[in-house]
Amino acid sequence: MTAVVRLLLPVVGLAAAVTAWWFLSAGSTSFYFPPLADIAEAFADNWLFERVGSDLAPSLGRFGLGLLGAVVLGVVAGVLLGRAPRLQNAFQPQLEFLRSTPPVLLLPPSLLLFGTGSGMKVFVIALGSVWPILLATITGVRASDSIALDMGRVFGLGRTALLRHVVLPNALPSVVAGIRSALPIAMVLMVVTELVASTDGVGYFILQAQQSYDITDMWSGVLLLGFVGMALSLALAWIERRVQAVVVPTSQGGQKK
Amino acid sequence: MNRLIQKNQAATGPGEPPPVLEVSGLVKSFGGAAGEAPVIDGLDLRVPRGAFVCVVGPSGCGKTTLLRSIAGLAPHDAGEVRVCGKAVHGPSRELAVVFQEYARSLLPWSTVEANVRLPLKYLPLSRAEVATRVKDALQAVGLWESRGKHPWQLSGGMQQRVAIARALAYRSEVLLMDEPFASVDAQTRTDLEDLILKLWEQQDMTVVLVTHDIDEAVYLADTVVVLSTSPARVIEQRTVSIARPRDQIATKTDPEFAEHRARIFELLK
Repeated sequence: MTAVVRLLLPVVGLAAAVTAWWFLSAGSTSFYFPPLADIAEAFADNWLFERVGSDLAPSLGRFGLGLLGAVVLGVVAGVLLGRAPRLQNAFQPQLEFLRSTPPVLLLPPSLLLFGTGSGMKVFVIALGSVWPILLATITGVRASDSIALDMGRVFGLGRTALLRHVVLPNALPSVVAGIRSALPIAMVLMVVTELVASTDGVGYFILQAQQSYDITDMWSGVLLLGFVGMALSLALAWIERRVQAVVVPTSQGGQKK
Repeated sequence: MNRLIQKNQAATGPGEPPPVLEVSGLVKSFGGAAGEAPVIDGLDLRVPRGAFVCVVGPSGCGKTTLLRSIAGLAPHDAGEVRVCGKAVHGPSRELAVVFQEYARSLLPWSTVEANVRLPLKYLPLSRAEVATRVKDALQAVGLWESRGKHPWQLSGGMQQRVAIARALAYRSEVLLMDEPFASVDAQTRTDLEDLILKLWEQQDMTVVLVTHDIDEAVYLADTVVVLSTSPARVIEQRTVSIARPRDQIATKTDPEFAEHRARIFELLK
């Protein structure tokens, strides 16, 4: 009963909000806040599926490549720094500096260095969203169980074998959590790079619509980004739960006899 | 039976072969050699091949530190540890360890079978040999049927049996056990004691078991090594000649058992 209620409540809440928006905006004559019905129509026109290939695909492509770059860079550097405490000590000030610099500030120098192409966008997304992944990887690697490490050493596992069988599986949940925190940053950078300099992408589409006063089109793009962000976040939450269930089963409802 | 006689000869006979484990003048302190009082100060120990040696000492006397030094997990400050004649400066192929914290020494994301197989993957063995060893070891501890399960699906005693199987499959000369039965209930504990005795008698191995439990030490061992309070030194070695196979009731009511027990209790007071 309570489980059903818990599942139903968000649906009810969402339905109420959409219904309220729909009817409150139905008679709207405001140029900036058109009726939801019009936005929905624009959404269907644009994103089912006319502009999926021309705008959504390039956006998601750059987003995916950038995030992939961030994951590779963050995990490799995180494992190195996590396994070598002295190295991490030496790099700590630089890490703190880079981490607390707003990622959007990467844009001006990147524009100068790489121009306005996709490469620049992927670079900005990767470098901007790498920090939470890097820090989470360091934490996860550091949290390796000392007894498990002793076991590995006693039984003749070398550095790479220890990494593969003990350190990395143990760090995996932390890494996934880091990726989840990186997701919104990568998303923001995807849009911002398209607002600044682009010839395609959802951000570019929104900017174009806004500048040519196609307000319903603009809102349809905003709505789309909301949906995409939510879907990605949900997908990663699901992956996180799966990883947790495999790596730390006892803390995630694994039965103990 | 033949092997038992051999064992006793190895332990006491004249012209004895070189010990499989030899600790001489071991010194170990934390925070480097300078300054701090040592945890172990000049400890000597000789374990002949095929022996079952139990090391007892008051809690906090450095038993675990000694075991870590022997296992090559912690460098010692002075003295020497030799396994099969070779000085130990790091983990040795001829040494396997069963840790007290079974839940932490097994990998929760691997099955029982994969946990036992893991060390073998890095030995120069054929696939068939690895498979045979894993199967033999798991059968020896009675867990072949549970090979597909994950450690967290098993009871504490079963998890410790997986750890024992992993050590068996590794086939090292010496099996080091650090309070291996301290974290399980009393019934499981006696079962595990008898299991390890059975395995020791069947297989060709030398066991060094660290414990704070005097009864357990006398029940299992050929030789009980008694350590002093910190800094640890050997204060007495007692040879236990109660007949084997040992039995939870007969052995523990043997007059010799009571004698050792009383003496060691006295020493540890």
